[in-house]
Amino acid sequence: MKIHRWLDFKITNRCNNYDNKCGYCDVPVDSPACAESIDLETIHRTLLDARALGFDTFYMLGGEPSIRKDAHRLIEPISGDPDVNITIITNGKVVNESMYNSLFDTAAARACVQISMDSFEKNNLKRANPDNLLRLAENIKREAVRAYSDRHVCEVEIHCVISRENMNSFDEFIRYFADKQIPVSLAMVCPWKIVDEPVSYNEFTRDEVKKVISAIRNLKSGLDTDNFNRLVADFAEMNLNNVKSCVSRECGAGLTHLVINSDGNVYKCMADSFDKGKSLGNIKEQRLHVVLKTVDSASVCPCKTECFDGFAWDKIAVGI
Amino acid sequence: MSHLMRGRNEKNTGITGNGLKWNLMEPPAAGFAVLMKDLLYTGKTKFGKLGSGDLFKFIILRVLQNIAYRIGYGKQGIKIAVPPVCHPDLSIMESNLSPLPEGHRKHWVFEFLSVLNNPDKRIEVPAPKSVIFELSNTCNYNCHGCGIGGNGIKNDRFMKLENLKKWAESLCGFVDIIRINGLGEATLHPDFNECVRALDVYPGAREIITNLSADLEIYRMLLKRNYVMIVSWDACSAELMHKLRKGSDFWPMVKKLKAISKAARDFGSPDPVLLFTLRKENMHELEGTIRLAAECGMRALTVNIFKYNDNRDWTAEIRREIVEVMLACEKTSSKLGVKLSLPSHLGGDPLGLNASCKKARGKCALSATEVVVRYNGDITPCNMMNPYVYGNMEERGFSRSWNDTEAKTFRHFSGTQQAHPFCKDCYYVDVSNRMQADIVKTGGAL
Repeated sequence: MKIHRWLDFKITNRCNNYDNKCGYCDVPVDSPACAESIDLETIHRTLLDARALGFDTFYMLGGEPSIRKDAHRLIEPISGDPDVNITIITNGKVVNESMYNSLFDTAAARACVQISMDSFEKNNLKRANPDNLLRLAENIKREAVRAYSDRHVCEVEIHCVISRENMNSFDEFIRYFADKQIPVSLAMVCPWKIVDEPVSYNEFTRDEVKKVISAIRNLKSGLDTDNFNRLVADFAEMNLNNVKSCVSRECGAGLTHLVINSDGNVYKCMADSFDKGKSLGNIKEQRLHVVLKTVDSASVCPCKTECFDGFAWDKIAVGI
Repeated sequence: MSHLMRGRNEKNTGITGNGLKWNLMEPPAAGFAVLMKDLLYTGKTKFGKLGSGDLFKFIILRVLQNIAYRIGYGKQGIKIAVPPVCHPDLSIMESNLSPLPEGHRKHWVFEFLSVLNNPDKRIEVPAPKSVIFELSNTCNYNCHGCGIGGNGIKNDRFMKLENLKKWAESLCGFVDIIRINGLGEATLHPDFNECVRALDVYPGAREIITNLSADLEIYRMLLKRNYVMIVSWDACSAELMHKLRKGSDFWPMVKKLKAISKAARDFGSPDPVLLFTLRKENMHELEGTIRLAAECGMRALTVNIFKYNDNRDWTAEIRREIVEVMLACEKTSSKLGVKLSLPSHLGGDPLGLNASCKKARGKCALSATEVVVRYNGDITPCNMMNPYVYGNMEERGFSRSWNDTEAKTFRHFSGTQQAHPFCKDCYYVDVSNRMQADIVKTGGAL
């Protein structure tokens, strides 16, 4: 079995959706006109530090990474490493070919451009034009195929957030992309709640959640994301069963997975990363290995719907 | 990289040398605009909170630094190297995790990564007191339940003599006991005598576990060197011995046993010990083996308990019968003057017989005091041949491996609910030979 460590690195807080944010985004982002809050040197140094700590899976996200002027240089220090998996997450509203190419030109075991897209509806929570995203995904797919080799898997992947908007259609959405050999990874909108009379995009009845779980379990796209998506169903089921008596569980936050915000603050997990008080330290002031010294045991905290990333990563880290 | 290198154009990119990719850099452009840009950037990002007096000092010093930097840069350009990506070798731990039950694996990964985050988390232990060298990982017998000798003798499964010498040098200067054993038969080693001589220079007592298939002269040579000889012996009848220890020849071995007992007495060497691995098939021959030991002049017999690979407790269903056998054996051994050592427990239950060895509950001290160097240099915890690997003598060296993340993780779980499955209900017997070895070390006699 392989041990994996996952780093979610928010390399910018600037977002081109600043004026028309995604319907479910509560994160205070900066306008594209603002200066970057983290410089390239710090990103590079931190990537090398993370690699030296055994991190091998890097997700570069934001804000919107593709609007960084130096987006094509983000992963430079680890580009020659054949043992890493690198994914850049984009909303696809800006086409940044040099960024995609810089990713596919690496020696990484897996290089992936992940496009956030939830449905084919024109009016959607992502405020995205589905036709444009579809075209972009197909174009990147062509580049990925060109750069692909057995030891260097290049992919474009769609990341689909399940909300009330698409809870009855996400499976069709996945099947559509599966026909094009484009994998779709899933996540429940975060945080999600079980209520008797749902109103908001993130509220569901118990029966609706059960239906979502069942739809995920029935999905068989034949692509790698099937295994990952099953974890979404497992986690939803776990929350469904424990929703009234929220149980604590030991988790590998800060061990199997870690989050760095665009202001340089380091957090054990994605759920913590929205609470500045939970910062472990800042990579602008300290090297990552110094910051991480404080995480020397597993975390035990109540299981929340926001904990999916940690749940998934703990499973992946121990090869389950 | 210096701040002055930021954004510089590279030329001749991709020159390689010394395993690194080198880029030739031109000197940064000099001039007022560059200087102002640097002052603005650095001032804003690093010194923005200074008062006006300090800011003025900063500007002066920064201008001087820029000038000094350009003078130092020279005319030829400089070489910079892309920093090599380094990462910890997780492959050993990955192999260690595979045999763990799924429920334990998560805890072990978390602890391993905790130590990786904070190497100071677990205290370092001093050098081991006991070292075991696995000279051979191959055997001329094919014993029931072992399998090492199943495919005959493999010549590539001996520890190289030069490696033994090198490895002993790095860890034998401070140990109390050096033992030669392993999963295979040590005396098969093609340079066995040389191996023994290589260890002569180190202090401390000596032990060897053998199947007694070597020439008598080899055993005499070992006895002369005060080796405690531990002879694997599983039956008192030729028929059962041949069945359990395929390849053995009972009667010549009995003859040899008598000869080495006598030689031990003649040389004043520690008494050899019979090591009886008790299992369902031979439990009723234990008492007979004690009698045989006495007939051969042997004065010590230690009982170990057979373990299946999956560690299931086969003793549970016949525990009462086993205890009755052991009680009878206690009487017999006492009558015949054979020192009997029994396990401290059977399965999860303490045995509590007079001849039971004492074993502390909880943390196992062995993981911090004993080490096994396998034929291929792998460093493993104890003489029960736990497959868990701390590191490798060649790749990481002993000093690093002994207190590295893998070793600390193993010790952390020792004696806990999540202990390595191989350690569960461990039948490590603190055999009387170990006591004898202590006596040898201090110059006493049994």
